[in-house]
Amino acid sequence: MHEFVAAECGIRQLHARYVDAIWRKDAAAVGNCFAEDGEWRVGGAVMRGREQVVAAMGNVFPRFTRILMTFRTPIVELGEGGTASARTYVTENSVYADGKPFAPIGIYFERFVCEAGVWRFKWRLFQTNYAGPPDLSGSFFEVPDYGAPPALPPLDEITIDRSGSGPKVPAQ
Amino acid sequence: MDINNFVIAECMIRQLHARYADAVWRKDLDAFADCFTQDSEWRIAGHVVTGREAIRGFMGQVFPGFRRILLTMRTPSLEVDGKTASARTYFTENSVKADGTPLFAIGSYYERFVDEGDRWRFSWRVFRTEYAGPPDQTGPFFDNPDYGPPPAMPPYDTVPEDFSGNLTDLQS
Repeated sequence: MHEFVAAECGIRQLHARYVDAIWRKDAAAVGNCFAEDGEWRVGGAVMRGREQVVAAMGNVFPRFTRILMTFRTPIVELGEGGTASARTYVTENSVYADGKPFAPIGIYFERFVCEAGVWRFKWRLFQTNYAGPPDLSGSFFEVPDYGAPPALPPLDEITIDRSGSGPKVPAQ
Repeated sequence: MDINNFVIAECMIRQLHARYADAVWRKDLDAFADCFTQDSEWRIAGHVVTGREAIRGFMGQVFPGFRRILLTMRTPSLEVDGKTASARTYFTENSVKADGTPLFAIGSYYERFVDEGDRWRFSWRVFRTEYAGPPDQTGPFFDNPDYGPPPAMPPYDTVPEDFSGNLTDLQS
């Protein structure tokens, strides 16, 4: 099998499992999308390790009725030894617990590792480019332009909570 | 059909579409032009734009009219013939014009591609607008020719109409 094609397929499958876990509000399944030491930078929070991811998602889910994420094709770059990185455009069709619709647009910059044939997130940063209702009458944000793929943000890139609904990371 | 070659080509053409959408979102003219072959032909909204440099110049007139353009390409219906391929791909566009007006469009791309070794690129493409208007789809849907099921393609000399009027005044 063509190595790139296999990796791209495996990463799209990972995104699909992640979307399913988010829709079902299954924090353990979200955690299983991450490497044991995976790092997630999203909504002003930095989660380090699978356990912290699971705990934080347990706090996020009650704030939403539903979250439907749509991942576009990841622009993939193969790395060494079963690793890869990608840039993926994402939209969300969500409804808060109070019934208010929320439809952000953002970009995931991600690093992956293939563990026993299963791809998982090793590091990921979500940048919100738009936050507001589905009619795009909300706010667009200035975000850094890292240039064309495969360029990625630095590993310590800041994450900003644009919507006020970012995860609260429990103290370890 | 060599299924292995087909799957590789399909993956690479989805990657091309993803890079194209990234370049449009970031308004990166160099990355945009790099999606086309040197002698590529782009038929869009009453215009026939020939050659990578002319295509770059054309898009340079389009970008200032928009704050953001989010293109979502669906799965291409693909026909592969060695190092060339053709496809029909439906897409949606969630955009905001420079004056803040949201624009939602539904369209279809009829495209021919070439594998240039480092990556696949567009060698010929027709852009068709099927709907343009507000995001709630209360705007007009347009009558375009029906070429029948894939892999049927439009004739090489097709000039699609500018139904939306957004690109009529540009220089090609």
